[in-house]
Amino acid sequence: MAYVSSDELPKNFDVIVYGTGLTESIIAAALCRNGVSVLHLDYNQFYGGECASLMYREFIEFLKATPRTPQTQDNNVQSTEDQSSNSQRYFLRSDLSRIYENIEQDFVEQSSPLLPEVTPVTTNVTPNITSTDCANNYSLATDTDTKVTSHEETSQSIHHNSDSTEVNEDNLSPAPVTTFDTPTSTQESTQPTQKDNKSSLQESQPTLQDSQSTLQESQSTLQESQPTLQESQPTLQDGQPTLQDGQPTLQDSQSILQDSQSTLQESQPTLQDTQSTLQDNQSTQDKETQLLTPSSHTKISTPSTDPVLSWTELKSQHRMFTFDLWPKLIYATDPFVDMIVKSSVTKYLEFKAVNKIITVLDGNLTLVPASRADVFTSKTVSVLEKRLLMRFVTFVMDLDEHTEEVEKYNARPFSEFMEHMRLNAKLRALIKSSIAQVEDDSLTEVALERSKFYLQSIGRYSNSPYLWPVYGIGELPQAFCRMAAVFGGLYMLRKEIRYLEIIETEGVSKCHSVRDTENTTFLCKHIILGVSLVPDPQPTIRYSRAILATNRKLLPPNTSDINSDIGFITIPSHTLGPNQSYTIKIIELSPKSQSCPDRCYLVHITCCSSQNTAKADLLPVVEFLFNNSTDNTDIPPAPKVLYSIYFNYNSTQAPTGNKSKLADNIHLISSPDLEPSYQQILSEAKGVFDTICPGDTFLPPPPDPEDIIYEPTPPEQNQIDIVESAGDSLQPTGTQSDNETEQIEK
Amino acid sequence: MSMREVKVCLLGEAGVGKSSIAHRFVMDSFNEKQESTIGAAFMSKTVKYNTQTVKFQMWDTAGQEKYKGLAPMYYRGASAAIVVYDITSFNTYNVVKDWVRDVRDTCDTEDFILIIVGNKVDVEEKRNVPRETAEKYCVSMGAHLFECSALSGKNVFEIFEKIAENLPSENPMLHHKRDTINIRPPIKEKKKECCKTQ
Repeated sequence: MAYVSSDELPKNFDVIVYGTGLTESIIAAALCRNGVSVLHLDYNQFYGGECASLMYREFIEFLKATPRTPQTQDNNVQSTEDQSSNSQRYFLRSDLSRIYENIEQDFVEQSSPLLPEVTPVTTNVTPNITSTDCANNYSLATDTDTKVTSHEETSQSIHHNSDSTEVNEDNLSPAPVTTFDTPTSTQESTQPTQKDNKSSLQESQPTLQDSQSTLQESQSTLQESQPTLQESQPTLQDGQPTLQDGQPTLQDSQSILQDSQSTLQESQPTLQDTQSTLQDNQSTQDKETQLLTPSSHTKISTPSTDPVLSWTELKSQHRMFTFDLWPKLIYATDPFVDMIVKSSVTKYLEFKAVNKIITVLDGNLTLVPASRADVFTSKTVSVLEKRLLMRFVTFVMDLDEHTEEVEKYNARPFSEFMEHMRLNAKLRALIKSSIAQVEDDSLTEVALERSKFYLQSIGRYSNSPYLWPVYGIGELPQAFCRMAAVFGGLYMLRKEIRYLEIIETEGVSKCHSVRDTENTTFLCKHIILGVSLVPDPQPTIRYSRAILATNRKLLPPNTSDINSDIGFITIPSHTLGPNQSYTIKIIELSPKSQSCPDRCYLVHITCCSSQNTAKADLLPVVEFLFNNSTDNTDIPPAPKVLYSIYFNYNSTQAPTGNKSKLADNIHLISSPDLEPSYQQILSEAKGVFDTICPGDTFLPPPPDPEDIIYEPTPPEQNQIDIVESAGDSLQPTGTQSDNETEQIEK
Repeated sequence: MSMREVKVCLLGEAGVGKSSIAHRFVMDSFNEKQESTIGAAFMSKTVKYNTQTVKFQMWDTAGQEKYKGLAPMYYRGASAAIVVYDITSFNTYNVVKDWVRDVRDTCDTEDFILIIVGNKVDVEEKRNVPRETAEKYCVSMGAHLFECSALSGKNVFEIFEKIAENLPSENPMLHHKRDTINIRPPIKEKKKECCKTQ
């Protein structure tokens, strides 16, 4: 893309906002909306900063990013040599390794699913293979051009490969060759891809062996997972005759490639959503396919109740994975929601209800009744418990009428209050973990406030208390940035600020300008930036995060499928042993959330960190919820983890008042936290806005409501009346201008 | 008769006339003084094509394209993209390829309609981009080519006619829209009436 050169850039702004996290973006929108000139920069090439939703490749590169500008200075504040002595340079740090740590990625071995980049060959021809073989190399990084930067991400999978291929390659590979006597006229498009993948795989193998520790780790993972794999072997054979049953082989022989291509063709009809890249060839191959399918798959014709993912599908769909760095549900009654509605930012957003809420009671997953109707129909609670629960619900909804009763419990544990309400152990657990979302020792007033929030949120937009933006949380900052741009904000991504220039006049220090890495200087009256970019130490909250891709939704035992697009699961503290110090929160996204491809689920796990690494914190919960096989057919099979990544996230807290010690026009913004509400974000955004534009309205409704069309469907009747002839040509039937906004004169 | 909503992204180098094309189509007017796209971030127009009523929602870049700042949100759910260049400036044509790559990266569905538009044919004498050059490229990309003038209005309606003609039989946007929650101001009903009067 060609862009206007830096010379033509305006250089003087009222406010420079550095970083496109949610809080920063809200402030930018509010300022632009108020007629303030804003330059909004981000050093990343995407919007959202620590709140971004990223495609898989972007995500991995982001997490593994090395510091872009290594800090050579011992002191981050330097007096300038060549300028007047009252000027200082305040160097920023862009060292992400402070924010994201202990990244561990697993391509978990499974018998079904996200299959390998390497040539897959169908299963039934080699019935004696072990599951580990087909688990060789899961990789979501299915881009054909595996770059150097992504070696690391495929490394573990390749390890498994090197573990098992030596043993199995020889006896496995020839089998398909002899079995499949299929035509070789095949999909040209897939062939180079496979070759490329293969070569990249081979390339990266040496680099892997370098890292002995990783190797050992992955081996242990492999051993751990062996039992699971063997258990799941029957699933493999019962599986549908699709490609994912296939065995990867590293052999480079062209004949195998060709065979596997014919395998690709076979599996085509079984794919629910045929890939566009493959479709072109399909019609010509249907005939062959029909001939081939019966003969080659007779052994595995048992119908599968749970169609597994196919490699072909995910290979071309991996871009449909959207990884949220900061998964946080939104209460329907959160003031944040009121704000986005009032300011019309919602017109850029779509939301889904979180329509499945689960917690763990007595060691079992249990559906939490959300609405009153749910409470009445719930099988989770008995009739007596329903009455008690309803009493609690009514009490909390009318909290203001019970101030005296509540006050006695202020600064006392919530558990005491729940006892006062005569709630039994089961209900206490239910309320604590799901409704109030608090820990054991939380105070009554906090828990009641949160419970009220939760209960009032039910029924506002749906039967669920929570909302989730389609495409992920990263849409929120983008929506505010768009609003800011509509109101004249200037946007530049991949722009890095090296330092702030601070000038002292008459004893008052002010940030006067910023200098980017290309030595362009931008003047500003205020600078707003994330506190994590500032070198001075600040208090942080450390979270453990995991993101998994699974093949099924989580369901409590004895539950038939529920129509859930998004699920929220809480695992109360100590459920999984004494080491689990905090409640673990899980968000499960279905393909309808647009965060993952069909027949795949994306699971975000979050808790406050108490162990050394995220994996140490979260592996128990992953083992508890996933990969359990059971012979009991009453219990829905547990989802299998196809891919997982663990990391710690350090959320940095800004000083009170959001002011830097160096100058009071440097406004520092907290990193987003993972507490239940968005109130802190909103209050910080409002606070900074009020400092810069005292007395002005924060994100008022758009100026001319007459021009805004919220409901885009004018009655059809109207249009038909206007249309005079319905010929082949396009007939204008009336125009509407959705001028979202109008320029503010100020 | 069904009403379809179609999101159309306008792309291209700053100053090639993206907004002017949208204005011409929506209002059938041309604003010579239009300098940059502040204020109108999307416009919509409802048209009838054969038996279908199509509501085009045209998303303008709001200037975010100028310095590498176009958000993925811009492309979300779009059915078509119109990539505009200025026939008098070869540079703006060269950039089309980058935009097309961006679009293909984000909207990689079979049904996606890609239209490449050379604007400003009203100043034919200053032409720098031969039609054949652009045509060859469009054929190779599976895109439709139009040369138009937002100033005179020539060929502008035809662009949208082409989009309407090529719409897939079922709106892929419905795929997830069905279950989304509408979070809009409660005063919505009143607004609706305002629209009716137009």
